[in-house]
Amino acid sequence: MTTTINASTSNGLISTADTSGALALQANGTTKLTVDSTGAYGQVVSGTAVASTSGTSIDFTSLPSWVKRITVMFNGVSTNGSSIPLIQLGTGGTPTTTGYVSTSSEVYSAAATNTSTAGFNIYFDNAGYIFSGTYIFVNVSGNIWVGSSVTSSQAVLAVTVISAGVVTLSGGLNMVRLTTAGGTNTFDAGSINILYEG
Amino acid sequence: MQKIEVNVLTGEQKIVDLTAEEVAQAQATNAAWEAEQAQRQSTPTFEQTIQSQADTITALIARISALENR
Repeated sequence: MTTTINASTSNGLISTADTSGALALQANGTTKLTVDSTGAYGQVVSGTAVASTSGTSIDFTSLPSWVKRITVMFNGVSTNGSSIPLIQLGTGGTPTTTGYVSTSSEVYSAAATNTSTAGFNIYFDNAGYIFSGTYIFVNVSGNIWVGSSVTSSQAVLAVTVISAGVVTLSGGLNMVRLTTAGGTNTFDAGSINILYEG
Repeated sequence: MQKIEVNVLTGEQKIVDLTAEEVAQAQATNAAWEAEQAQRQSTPTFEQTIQSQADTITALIARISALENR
């Protein structure tokens, strides 16, 4: 028998049951967590897409402490300079700016590699690049986060960029920042969003 | 300079002016990054070093061949 416990905003707690063999926790009629014979699972939560058309950095803040996996999504993102885009994870609302072991390689008719200790680097080093793809971060244990990414651009020239790295934060992750290695270039195209899940 | 902040719980988005301290930090970071790039460009990459050595070997082989054909 399944019990559904629904925290309704109009009727308070509603408890219903069926025969599916699962326990579902709902908020205002929407299932947030299910426990069944295979384990406990919840929804992948989507952030709000933001236009990456201004600013020297874009912060996604207030990530819940239960997050174990984050997907950063780039849709036609560009900057106005040659400073390489960086993703920094943060704790206590402040991005961590050191301690990364991150490598990013661009593959085209040739190949080149860039390393970074200041963030997870994505080797697009020209203002003309307009890149799309994802960067996925997962929690290994404690405050250790590893990430890997494939992104590409067909502006300037056709380039695929493969990146990966690791960082140990000083506390629980609660923010993600997209910026650039130099920190002063401005984003001027596209949009960015994140998914997070526990 | 400005940054965009997105609160993932509320969906609130706002554009925030960087503080003077944050601007100074960004400018310092940029200066360090540009210096690193300049240093990187003046140092031959591994691939460039290998290519240079290959060019030297090719030139030596051509020289030896020319001497042998005298």
